[in-house]
Amino acid sequence: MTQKIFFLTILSIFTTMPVLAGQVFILNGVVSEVDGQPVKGADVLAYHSKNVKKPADFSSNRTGSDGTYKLALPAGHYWLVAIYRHDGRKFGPLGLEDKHSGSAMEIDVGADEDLELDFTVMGLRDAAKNQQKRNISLVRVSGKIVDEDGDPIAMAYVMADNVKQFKEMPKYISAWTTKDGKYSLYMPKGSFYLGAAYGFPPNADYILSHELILTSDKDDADIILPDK
Amino acid sequence: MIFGNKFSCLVGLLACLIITGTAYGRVLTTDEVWHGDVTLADDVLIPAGITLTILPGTNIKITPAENTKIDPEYLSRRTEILVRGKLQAQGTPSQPIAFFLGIAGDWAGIIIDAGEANLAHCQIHGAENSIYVLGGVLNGRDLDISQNHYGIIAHGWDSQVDLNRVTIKDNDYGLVAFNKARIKRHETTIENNHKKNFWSSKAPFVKIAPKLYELPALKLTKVYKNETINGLVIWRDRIRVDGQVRIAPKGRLIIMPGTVVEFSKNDTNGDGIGENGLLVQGGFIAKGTPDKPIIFRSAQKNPAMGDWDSVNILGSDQSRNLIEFCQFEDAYRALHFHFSNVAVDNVILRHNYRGLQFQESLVEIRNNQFYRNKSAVQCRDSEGIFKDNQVFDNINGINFFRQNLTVSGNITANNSWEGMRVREGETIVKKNIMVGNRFGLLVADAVFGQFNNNLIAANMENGLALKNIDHLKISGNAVLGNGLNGITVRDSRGEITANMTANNGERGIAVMSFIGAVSGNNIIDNGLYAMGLDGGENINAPDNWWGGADMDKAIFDRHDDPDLGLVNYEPQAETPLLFIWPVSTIPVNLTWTGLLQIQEVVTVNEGATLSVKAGTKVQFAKDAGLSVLGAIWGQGEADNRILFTSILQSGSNEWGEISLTHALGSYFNNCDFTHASWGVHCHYTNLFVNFCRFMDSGGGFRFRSGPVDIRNSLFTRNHIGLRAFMVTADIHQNTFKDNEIGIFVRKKGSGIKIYQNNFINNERYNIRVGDFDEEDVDARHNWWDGANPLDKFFDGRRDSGLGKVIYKPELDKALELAF
Repeated sequence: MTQKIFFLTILSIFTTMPVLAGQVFILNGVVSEVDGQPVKGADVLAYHSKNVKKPADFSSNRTGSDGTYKLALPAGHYWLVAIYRHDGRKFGPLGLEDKHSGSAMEIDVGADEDLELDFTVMGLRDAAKNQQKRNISLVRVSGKIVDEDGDPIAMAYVMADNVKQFKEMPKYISAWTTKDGKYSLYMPKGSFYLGAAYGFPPNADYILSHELILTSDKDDADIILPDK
Repeated sequence: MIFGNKFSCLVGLLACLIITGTAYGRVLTTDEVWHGDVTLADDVLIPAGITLTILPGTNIKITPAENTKIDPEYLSRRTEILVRGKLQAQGTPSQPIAFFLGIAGDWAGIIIDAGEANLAHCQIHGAENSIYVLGGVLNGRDLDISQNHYGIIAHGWDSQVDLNRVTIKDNDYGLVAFNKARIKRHETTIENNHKKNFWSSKAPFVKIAPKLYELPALKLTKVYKNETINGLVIWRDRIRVDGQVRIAPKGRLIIMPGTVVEFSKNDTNGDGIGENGLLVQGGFIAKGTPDKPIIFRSAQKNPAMGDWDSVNILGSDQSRNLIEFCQFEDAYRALHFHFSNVAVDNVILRHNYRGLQFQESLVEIRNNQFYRNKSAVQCRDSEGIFKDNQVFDNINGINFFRQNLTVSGNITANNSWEGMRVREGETIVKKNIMVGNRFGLLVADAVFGQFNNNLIAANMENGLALKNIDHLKISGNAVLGNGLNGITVRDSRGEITANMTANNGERGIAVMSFIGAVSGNNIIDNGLYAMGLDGGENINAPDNWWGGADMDKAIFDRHDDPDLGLVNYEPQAETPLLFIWPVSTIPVNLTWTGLLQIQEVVTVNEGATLSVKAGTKVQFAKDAGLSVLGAIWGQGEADNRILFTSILQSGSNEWGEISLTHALGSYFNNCDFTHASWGVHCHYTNLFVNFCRFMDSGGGFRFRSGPVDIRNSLFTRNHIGLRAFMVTADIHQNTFKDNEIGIFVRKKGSGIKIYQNNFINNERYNIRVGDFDEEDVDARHNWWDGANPLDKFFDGRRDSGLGKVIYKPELDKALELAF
């Protein structure tokens, strides 16, 4: 199982400035999309508590086209999030079109350092892609099992193998279809032969007749299965 | 005798493990005695047949813990003492027993799950539920229950609680009875609990037929002990597993339809849980069929929950593993996947400690039933589909943590605790039904995800609880008739819009702390308040429909308590807001009110009643309708009618029909049915129709059997006003006007009595007798509009094989009927 794991990048740059009472530290960095593109119009918000569902205690300038921001903070302990509102609002609830950096980042600001902190914001779709659990070495083959009139067939299945006539059992077997006739298989890239059947196990002399060369996902691999 | 008892006790104590100091969490395997200072660092389970005795003067200091992991034999995420055997904690006035927190936080409390607890002179503090009786017996004497969230909860008719001189105070809730628990009290003091001293709630029992796969007796084909499968192995008939069978990474196990796999019990550590099972690292295909399912079960003569371990599929993602038309019962953790690719279809998981658990996997979980498990589904960090499953009669329903799942079309019902819990992740939860649980849907710590278009109804406590969410839009949910609050919101930000929140016991929406907008919702007919605040922040709630309520009474905010924020509810919607009904099934008693749009055929299940409140307008899309197998009560009033109509409202046949089948006890008062294919289509139902109007439709009303009583109603501008087929009916004081055919008696007309009606200007026939109806139709005492009645009959006078309309005597003038 290959996983993509999403990291927020934190880079600390130490400076030699002395700490003074009431001193303000500058937090800066870049707000970007999942694909690394800088986000224009985002805010970085800092809170004194982990409750980040309220008006922020400190807010950055709005990011420019290069995604950079600056946020002035007194020394202290903070929770930070980055938010992009598609309609440019500064306040208010977030909607599905907006983007968010996820769980709050917890940081200490003070001592003799300024911080550089980058954020990645994402919407729901980005977040979902980010959590994919699929083995990326496999491709997904899907389609319908249909009769000779093109009508979907329920309680049938698709099987696949590297050879036309498998030994005892095909290597890949789909779940039973429901009334929509849809099936799916997960297989490695390569050349395969596919077939469909009603009964399980398939007949020992079954010939897989549909040849398929798989280089990527394929979602239209419909298979015609004659009536019983 | 006294000496004998003391002696027995002494011998008993010597035979027990005696614990003082730290008692780390574990399953007790022998009788045990605690005394002195005991630190409870994790969960403790007292299994059936085991007794934990706590001696007078014992102090039990609990280290609170809440995490996402719950081993299947436990019930709570917090530290718990779980009693399935016997707990004896008998302090004395001078040496009480104390259960208390070591540091801040809370603990689950003492949970009695079909066990017995005899407690005397105990003090219990700092728990979520100090004592939760979930079946079983609690005998409590001289108890001090305080500073807990809930004092004592007794849940279910099989919970028996006997309290003597018990004090329950300074908790949020004092004594709670769910689902007809049996509680006896003597000299109890229950006072100063912050929210309620006493509370009882009962969820409707939602009828879902449990499936059960069965197979004939099969010959034993092979017995496996501890061994490894390499290469392809096929199982058929009956297999017994007397150990742990591993399918190696290059191995492949295929199980044929109609196979039984039995696991003998092997409990080496004495915790009561069997260890035999399957460990799949290669491929696994268990492909049953409806006629030949595959059954995984205990080999014990008297099977019990936890007799065998699990089918574990670990690191198997080189192709999709299949588990179809199978049944898993009496396991510890029936199905368990980790880093795997698995489809589970049409599987029954019953009477397991846990039905299904998966992590880091790609899954498709469809059309399965989970029932009578301690916990049905627990999973995290996975991707895929969870669709059309039925999760019912478990203690815990569904627990999703950090998922990327699309969860749709499922029903969670009758679960003792949560219907569905979602924490973190990117879960999409849409078009599900959560009914009759203690809690409906809990969403916590979620930043991404969708929670839309669900029916969350008739749960005992809260319907939809949102805690620490951000970036979410909660919309399109029907949150109806829950025991306490409809929606509760704490530490959250987002939008709550286009929901229907009605008929909940206390608050439609309860807000502790929230940034965002509550707008475009229908918030009506809730018990105490439409919206109630419990925090100091102001809430923006414009453009909601409040049902015309007195807003001073409907809102609980700073006007009622100076420490609270304000609800800014202006401007208010002046009429009900369109609500699109989200699901195709109504499994419990519900009330429709306001303006609803129905986009498919919605079925009212057997045992459920749909009440339609006066003034409600229901719009149906093309081919949409209602199929009533339970009952429907149309509760219109003369000056506040109900309208069932189409979205377009321009012609006939623009929506389907309201179909009633064995819908006993149904009625329609002051309802209008327009633009339908058939307004009402009724089979085998005793139906009462009064002051209704059937208009502009293909047909107004058709029925078979009955008995039906239709009176004071108008049938106009339909192709057929009323159609009867083999019926018993009284049709009286109605007007049939401007239809193509007034009444069509299809067959067996002798059971229908048509009297005291007006027949006016029906185009072809006032009454048409069906082509195969040889029976006469009794239609005396009606007004035929001053014309020759025979001109508007099609009966035996025109076709000699048919029965005749008996129409004399006639009324000599029209009846004055008001609609």
